[in-house]
Amino acid sequence: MTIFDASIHADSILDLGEKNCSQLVIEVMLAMKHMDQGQTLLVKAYDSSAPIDLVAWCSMTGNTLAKRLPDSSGNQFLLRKGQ
Amino acid sequence: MNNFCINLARSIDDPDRATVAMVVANASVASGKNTMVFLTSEGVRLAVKGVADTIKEEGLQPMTDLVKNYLAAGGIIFVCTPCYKKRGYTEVDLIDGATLVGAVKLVEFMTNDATGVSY
Repeated sequence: MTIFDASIHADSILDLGEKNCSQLVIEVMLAMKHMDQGQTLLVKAYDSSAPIDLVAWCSMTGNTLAKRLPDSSGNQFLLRKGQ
Repeated sequence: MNNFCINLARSIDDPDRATVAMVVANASVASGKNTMVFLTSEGVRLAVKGVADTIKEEGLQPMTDLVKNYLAAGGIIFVCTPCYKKRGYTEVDLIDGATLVGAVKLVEFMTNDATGVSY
């Protein structure tokens, strides 16, 4: 994966391609399941609904969408694990 | 409100609707909700071994993956016992992870600060 902003640190990376809807959030959930509070997950997602869905998912799960990094092929989202 | 119920009365008779219901169930359990799928009427066939394998709607995840992921994420599947038995199925036919229950389990879940949708 190409990270748009090299200054961004991510503890883990998840490339979801064009996955969407429940498949997107369940893979994010599984990826964050074993991470520690405060750690970050860089998610790359091409689907146009991903930004809206990830904001909603974060608001329900206590995680934070720390940064959105648009790139030429999709979008990258830096999520920070909450409690 | 953390309890979310998906009441599902469809399976092979309406694979599109049944698949969308399980998509919602996956989104709910992935969002940290205590999620219960209540299979009723024709929906009970989803809890029969091998039936989910036959449902593959174009543009949606295969039903087998949806059920597997849902259970792995901690989702609950309750199956209406009379609906199941009237179709000739027995406990031997039941998939792992599903539980045969009476309607009282749906009532108990829904009256415990729950919300939900029905398909």
